[in-house]
Amino acid sequence: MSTDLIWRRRIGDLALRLGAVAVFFGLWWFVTDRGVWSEIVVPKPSSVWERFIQSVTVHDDVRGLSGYFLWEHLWASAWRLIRGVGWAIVIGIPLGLLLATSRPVRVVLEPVISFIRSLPPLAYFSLLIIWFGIEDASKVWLLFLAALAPIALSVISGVEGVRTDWVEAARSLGASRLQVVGHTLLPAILPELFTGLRLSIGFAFSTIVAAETVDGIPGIGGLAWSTKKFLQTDVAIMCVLVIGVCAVGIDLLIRTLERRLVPWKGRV
Amino acid sequence: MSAPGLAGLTPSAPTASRLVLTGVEQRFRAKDGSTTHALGPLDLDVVDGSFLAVVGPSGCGKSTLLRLVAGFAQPTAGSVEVGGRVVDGPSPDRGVVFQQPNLYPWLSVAENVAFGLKMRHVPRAERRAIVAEHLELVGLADVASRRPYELSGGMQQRVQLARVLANRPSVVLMDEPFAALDAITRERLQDELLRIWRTHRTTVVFITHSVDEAVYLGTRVLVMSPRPGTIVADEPVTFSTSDQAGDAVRDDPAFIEQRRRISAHLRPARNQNPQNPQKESA
Repeated sequence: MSTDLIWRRRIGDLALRLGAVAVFFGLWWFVTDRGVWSEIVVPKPSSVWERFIQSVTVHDDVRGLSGYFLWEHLWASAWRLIRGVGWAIVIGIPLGLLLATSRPVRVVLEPVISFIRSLPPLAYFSLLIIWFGIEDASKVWLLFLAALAPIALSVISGVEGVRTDWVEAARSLGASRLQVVGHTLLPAILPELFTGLRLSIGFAFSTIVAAETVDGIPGIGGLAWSTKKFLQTDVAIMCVLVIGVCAVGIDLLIRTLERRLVPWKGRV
Repeated sequence: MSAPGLAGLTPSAPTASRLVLTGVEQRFRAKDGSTTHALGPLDLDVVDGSFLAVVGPSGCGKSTLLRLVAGFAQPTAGSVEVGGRVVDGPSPDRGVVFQQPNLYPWLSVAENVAFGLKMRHVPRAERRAIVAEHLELVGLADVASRRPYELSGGMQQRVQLARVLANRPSVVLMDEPFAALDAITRERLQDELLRIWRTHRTTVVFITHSVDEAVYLGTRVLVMSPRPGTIVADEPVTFSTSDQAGDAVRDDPAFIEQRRRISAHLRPARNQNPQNPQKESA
């Protein structure tokens, strides 16, 4: 049976992946146990684990790490991410539609968007701090700007790829130009929009550590950044692992959402 | 399956859908500055309730002709009028059935059929009744809640037809709607279209590359020349207005004779086996 074969292959792949992770941790434990490098360069897996436990408990009258529990750091970052990407969606979709459907708007704005997209977010972070202060507003702005371009550009390429006979059918069935945008273009670009969304969240995620270098506590990026001061390698590694797991989790969530909302992807 | 109440489908006024083309020409400008003369000059007067079948070699501009009537393009010269009004854009009064199935995959079959009604703000209850009626008409009431991509190509084309007819257009434009289907499905859909048309006699413009299909379905067959497409033959046909169908028509010597005669008009461009000119490569 072919389904049986597929399952056997899946289980095989999973075993291989888990095995690779086990080998990685085994090697890590081995080299640190032997003291190949100093604890400051490569800490033991057990110290990283201890930091993790510390981060979710009260120890010596200190809450978690840097005064906040791990989930408080994560939520602070997530809330910045949600606002940044949320605004990028709210602004980026109409902006993309406008760019794709109006030539003058496109001629003026497309270079601007390409320009912003090509900038490393840190390049303009100082400006945002000067304009919006060192608190959350400048961070949300940074994430918003990082997330905006991929969404707007995915909408543009989505609209360009829409079948002309879908639009013509809508027009000849009585749809106005505005109705074509709402009832034909918007649903038709959903597959591309999800690709853009995944890209933009990835961008925003990789920007969050940069955004939280300034007044970033609580925040997972701020926590990761703070470790350099006291050479807390174990905390840094814990942060990296947590950030990585969250990124994979978010991507999985979006892909599940996409399967639910765009069941026709690849079938038309 | 018998056709349900189609009272609303009959054209309201006798000249509501008269299609008149005057001196229509279409030229396309290529990027290198050269122009292609695709169509015309063309003069045409199609009376209400006609089933106009247009045949011609590939690239003769017959799809261009249909797009001009649909309002998707404007002629370079001349004018297109439907029901006395100049065509200057698409309208729900001129429904289009496309060659490729192009139903919206994010909508169910019933929602696809309801699309035009919804865009025109037909109240929900009325919408539901019209959709049910037209799904019944094309024999697809049982797949109303399915998604288009779960249906066969033939079924999708029937949904397209239902989607257009639900709007009650005065002209139905069909661009080789059965060309992408296998021979058996094509003949079945031809008979279904014939049954529906016989019931409500809306004006149809039907583009095809099959002479057999044109003679079988049309009340009038136009033969077009290779590019730039002009009319080289224009014949009335009577088989679709008889009460016969299927082999009873196709084996009729008069049918065979007319099919042969019309094919002869195409022959210089087709360069095919003269013994069997109506056979199309599938």
